[in-house]
Amino acid sequence: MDRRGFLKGVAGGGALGAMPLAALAQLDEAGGGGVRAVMLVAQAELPQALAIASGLSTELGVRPVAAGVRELGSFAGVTALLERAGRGRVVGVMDDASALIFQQIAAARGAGLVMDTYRRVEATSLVAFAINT
Amino acid sequence: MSSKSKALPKGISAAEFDKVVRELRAIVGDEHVLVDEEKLSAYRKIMMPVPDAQHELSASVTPDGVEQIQRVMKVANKYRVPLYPISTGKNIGYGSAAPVQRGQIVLDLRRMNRIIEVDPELCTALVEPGVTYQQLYDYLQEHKLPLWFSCPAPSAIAGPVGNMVDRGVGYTPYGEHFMFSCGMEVVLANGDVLRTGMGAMENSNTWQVFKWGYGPTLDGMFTQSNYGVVTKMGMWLMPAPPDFRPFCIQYPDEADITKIVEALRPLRIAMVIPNAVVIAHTLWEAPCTPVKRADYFTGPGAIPDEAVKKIQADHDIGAWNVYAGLYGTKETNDANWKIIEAVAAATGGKIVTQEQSKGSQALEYRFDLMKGKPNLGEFGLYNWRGGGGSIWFAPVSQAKGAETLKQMQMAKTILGKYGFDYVGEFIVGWRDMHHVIDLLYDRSDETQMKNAYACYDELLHTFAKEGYGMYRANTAFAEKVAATYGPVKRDVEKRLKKALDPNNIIAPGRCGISL
Repeated sequence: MDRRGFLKGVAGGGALGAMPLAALAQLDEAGGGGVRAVMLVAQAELPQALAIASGLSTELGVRPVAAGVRELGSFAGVTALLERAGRGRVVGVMDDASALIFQQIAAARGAGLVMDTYRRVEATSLVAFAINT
Repeated sequence: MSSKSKALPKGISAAEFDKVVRELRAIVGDEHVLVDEEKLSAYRKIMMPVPDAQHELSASVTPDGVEQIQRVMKVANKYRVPLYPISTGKNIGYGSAAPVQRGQIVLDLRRMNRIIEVDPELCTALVEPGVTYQQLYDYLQEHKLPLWFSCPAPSAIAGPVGNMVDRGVGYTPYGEHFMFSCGMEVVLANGDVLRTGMGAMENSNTWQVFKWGYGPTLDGMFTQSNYGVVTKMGMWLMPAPPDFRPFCIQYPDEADITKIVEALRPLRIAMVIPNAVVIAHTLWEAPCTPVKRADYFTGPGAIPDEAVKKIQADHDIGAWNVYAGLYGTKETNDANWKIIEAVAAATGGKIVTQEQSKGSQALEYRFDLMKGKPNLGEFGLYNWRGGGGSIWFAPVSQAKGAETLKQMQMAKTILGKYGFDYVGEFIVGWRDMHHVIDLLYDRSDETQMKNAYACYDELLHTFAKEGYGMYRANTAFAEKVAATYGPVKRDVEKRLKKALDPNNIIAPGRCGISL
């Protein structure tokens, strides 16, 4: 399975589970290179996002960063998170608005979007994404 | 080298495309020509109800100056490959950074992000396309210059050149951005560099202060078009007023739009209220408050009026919420404030002042926008339905109450038919109103995708039948929107395109213009 096929599989994988994201977070750069350092960002106000991040953190061995909606909704806040991530992979679990802002600011800095998925957990819409910074 | 691009420009073979990429890399450097799928993915992200593949790019090239763009044009002409220029690429809801047609190479101008000049006496700026509003704001703050600019809602990440070129609007007295631009530099398809207005004259120092020059004024041709690549733009900045008094007036009923517009129009035309007044519906305010739709309605279809009423009551939001400001001295604002109070009292509106707004996210971001302070508060809209779908439907109306009510009711009926909510606002120019509706839907739901497309299509054609045209449109509907303006205008546009870009290399299809 090529890389894009794999990502499509992840994206279509049903409920937002920890395992596919963990696999994604560890995915190598296409064609080689080592495993990237991962930063895991979850929206602090969303218990569903925090629960997913918590599951992921165990598998990835990284502590999730709980970022508030004010931080995720501001240019300065997202920029600071991206600075902290350095060059690596950021996996985010947050609401639609925060995810869009995060991705757009990251894109303006040259980051590549590896994937994003839209899911509903109960009545909450969540976006899970991975970007290479 | 072998091209990894799967979306080649029309009529170009993989081998030819590889040559194009090689030649572009020789101009801008390897790292500034992208063909790898992952690296292109950020350009590819769209919110429109069409398949991603329809707007897939073949590559991106990121020049750092005019001379490089001229050389890029040569390559594009040689191989007849189309370039799709973007400045910061944040035209979210109108197509974002993705090209209008599949296979185009995105000409990304973000590296051209120099603030070339700010004249604090004449209150002007000259900027490149990659400059963001946030960057300009930071510059003015750092240099302690008491100057404001007008910016659109996604201002912290968008930029003045791209917004002006798409004829966007903002919320200060300088809110009609094209009107307050002054002088452009444009690279034409043949590589010539045109400076409009007084900029055409060597050694002129009036490029940013006098717009017209001599002979035909050409600036408008380079907005909402594909006749050249705008590489510099002059813009007017507003002196920070000694006293700024933003306010909101809330109205309880949807039908109040009629009296609101009738009461405000004279004040706007006479410039008692000098800024672009916004009249926002409950459902525009709710997501930015923030209110969760699911807390009020989880059924299929559009949210019922009763639920909207409940949101109004629970969160102290008007059916319509008028945002405006007074800009002047304390004395002039005191005098004008009495007029505002009288108008609100006579029309049944409730005034919310800046002091009373503390803690309200929806009001704070609006008040910041009215003084040109960039923020991202309006992105809250995307949480209303969730799922990453948004297209702006933006017809123009006269600033007359009956017209606005008619448009609102037409839109609400059509949106409801397809199961979507009316999330709209009116932005008052002087005599017109930009009626902006965010058609929000779940892009991961195939049925909603189809319905959103059909809904926009019906909105467009129903409004056109009534003589209502769009002021701006997303790239998926560019052709259809252009068609509503009739054949003669389109024929002239095509003839201009043939004269200026005979090989059709600059964004063919943008705003419906192509050979």
